[in-house]
Amino acid sequence: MHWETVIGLEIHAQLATKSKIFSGASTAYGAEPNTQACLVSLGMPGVLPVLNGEAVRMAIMFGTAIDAGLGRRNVFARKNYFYPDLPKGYQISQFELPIVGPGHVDITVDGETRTIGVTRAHLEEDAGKSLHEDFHGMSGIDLIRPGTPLLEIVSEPDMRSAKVAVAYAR
Amino acid sequence: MSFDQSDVEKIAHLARLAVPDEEAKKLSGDLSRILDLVAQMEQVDTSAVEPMAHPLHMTQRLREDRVTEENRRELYQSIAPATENGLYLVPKVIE
Amino acid sequence: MMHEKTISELAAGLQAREFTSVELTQHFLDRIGRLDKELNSFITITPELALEEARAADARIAAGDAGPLTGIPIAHKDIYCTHGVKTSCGSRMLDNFTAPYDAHVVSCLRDAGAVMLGKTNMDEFAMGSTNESSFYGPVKNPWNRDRVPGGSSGGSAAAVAARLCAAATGTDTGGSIRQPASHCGITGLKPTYGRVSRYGMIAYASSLDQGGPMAKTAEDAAILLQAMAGFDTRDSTCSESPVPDYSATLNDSIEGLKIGLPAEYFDAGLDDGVRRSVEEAVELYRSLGAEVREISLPNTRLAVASYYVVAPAECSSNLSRYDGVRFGHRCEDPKDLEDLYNRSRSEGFGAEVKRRIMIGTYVLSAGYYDAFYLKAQKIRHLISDDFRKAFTEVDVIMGPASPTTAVALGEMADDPVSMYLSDIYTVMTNMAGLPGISIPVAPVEGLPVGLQITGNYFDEARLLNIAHRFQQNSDWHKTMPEGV
Repeated sequence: MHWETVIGLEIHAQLATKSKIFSGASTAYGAEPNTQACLVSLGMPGVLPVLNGEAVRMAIMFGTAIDAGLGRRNVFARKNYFYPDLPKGYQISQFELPIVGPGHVDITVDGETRTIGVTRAHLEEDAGKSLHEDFHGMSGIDLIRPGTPLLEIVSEPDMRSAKVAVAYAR
Repeated sequence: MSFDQSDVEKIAHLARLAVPDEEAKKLSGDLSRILDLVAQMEQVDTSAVEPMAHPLHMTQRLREDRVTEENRRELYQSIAPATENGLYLVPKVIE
Repeated sequence: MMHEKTISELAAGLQAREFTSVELTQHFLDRIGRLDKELNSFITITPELALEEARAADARIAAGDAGPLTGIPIAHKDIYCTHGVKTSCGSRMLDNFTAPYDAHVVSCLRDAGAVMLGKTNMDEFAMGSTNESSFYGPVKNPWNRDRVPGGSSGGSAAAVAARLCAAATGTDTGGSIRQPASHCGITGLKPTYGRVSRYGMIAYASSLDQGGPMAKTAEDAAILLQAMAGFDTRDSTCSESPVPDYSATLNDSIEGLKIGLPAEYFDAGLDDGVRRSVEEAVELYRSLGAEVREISLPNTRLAVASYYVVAPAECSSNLSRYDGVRFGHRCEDPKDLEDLYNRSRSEGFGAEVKRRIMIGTYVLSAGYYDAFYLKAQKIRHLISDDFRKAFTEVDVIMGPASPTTAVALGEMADDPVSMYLSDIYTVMTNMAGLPGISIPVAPVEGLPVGLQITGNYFDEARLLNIAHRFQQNSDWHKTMPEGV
């Protein structure tokens, strides 16, 4: 039997904004644990998210760079689940109406130009792991990453080898 | 519409609520009755209606990309159940 | 007596040095000490803080720097975060929570010079219509101690009715300002969604919640709303539309005002005594020059069903943050992460909150989202359209705030669905995001009745004007319960 390799990639690109996607807390790297965790980052009762305009601008720039359709309307939604470094118990992301629609990226591999389709890209807050192990059998949580702006870029399953996938990612 | 014991367990797990057996029966009864109330929504055909998530026709306002929050870890952690070296402590997270 | 005076009368008295804010504040603190053990309208009383604020207010008054609220003692519903002061939301989950910041509403009222006497009792996480679900025990209706004050802002309503404060703040998601105002014989206003910032107002249902004033008169409510309303950068759902001067138009003529009475609000479910009081009140409006006509809000019959999908869905998500990790109740010796979550949450939340979280989780879960949540949002659209159409025919809509007067304590405790059905007249306003006010009209067998007036978007000034004109021609708002 002949197997064909089909690869699609979902890349989470961290956007280089100064502040988080939904609050004015700093995104600067290397700070002491939880020193950049503001009320919104901590999911304190009563606080509300306010969207960072620069994250939106960067997403739109990406969209135009890949010739993508940019819908007039895009919507944020909540993904509900429980995890210690998901302070609100939900991640604010985009589902049905992402900010960036279908587009494409042209890459060159071994002298050949290939076009990889991009299905969509959407904005979301980072809900990545920030756990530190072993505090007398407990885990320590640093809420520095939650809230960092991410652009999740989903490609079509257009890639046929790892080499191409790597070239795309670059 | 009926909400039986296994529905209670499933939903309770999703919501991270522990429901002891003696409470589960009453809870499934209450929830069934509430779902009967909710079933009244079937009385109207809404196939041609757009959903309304929000009462006002507003677009999301955007904030300037500026760091406006300062380090207030001491204050915020003064009300935390368990911390050490600035980290929040929870039972070991097993991946 | 000082506690019977309106905010304007108190402000005038303070200006004229008839008494000081410290004396006024102490007067209310003494009353709370004497009367609140029985009523249980306060969860936390803050005497030192209050007197400190009163002293600062007296200094401002002496320096000629006073506004309409400077030195006036008020209370905040315990849903508003108050920096350095316990903020419990009526729940064991937040029994140990000292808020690390102030809600926008709290800062606004403090900046205006109001003095905070304490935090009022409420249904747990604002879920309930009788104030019986509070971790801190039920609140008693000052008009009849065997009856409920209404909910969820039952503590604020009872405190204002018993003259334990000059005014109070409340919140309204499905009627929680208007219905307790009705049951306690006071004036309560739910503003248009987006009129008052929700920053610091602990969330129950984000697309329905709104904070508002609860006071003895429409004139007082206007003064409080003036300080509470307006844009706040920290709340993306807050409107930037300018805030009018609510007090300036209170005395406007209501000649030619077109009032709509929804046929659906006057059906068999409405108690006869309440119907008569409401009709009598509408007659008074006719005598003041208003035109009254019957209108229809055809989707009224779906209001409660759809509300009890949307609100629990949103609450189940909003209450996920209560997990025992960063603040609030944590169970003892959690075995593992799952145990931490399950026990902290089960110990922290009461029965009604758990019911709503369960329903909410269910209607949002895979396979049910379309049939329930999406459907409810479509019905929400239909309800808004009903109002939109009605407002092309009339200026305001009137009706009862509640189908009955206050029920007995314990009567609805075990029957959530009956309690939900009693929200019929108020939930629609929240679903559409419209403003609504409840003012006291003729009582039935000694129990207060509220007339609910619903207005178009951002029409609070007109609602307050209409309410004020009624209060200039009647005395129901001046009556006090016995024994207070």
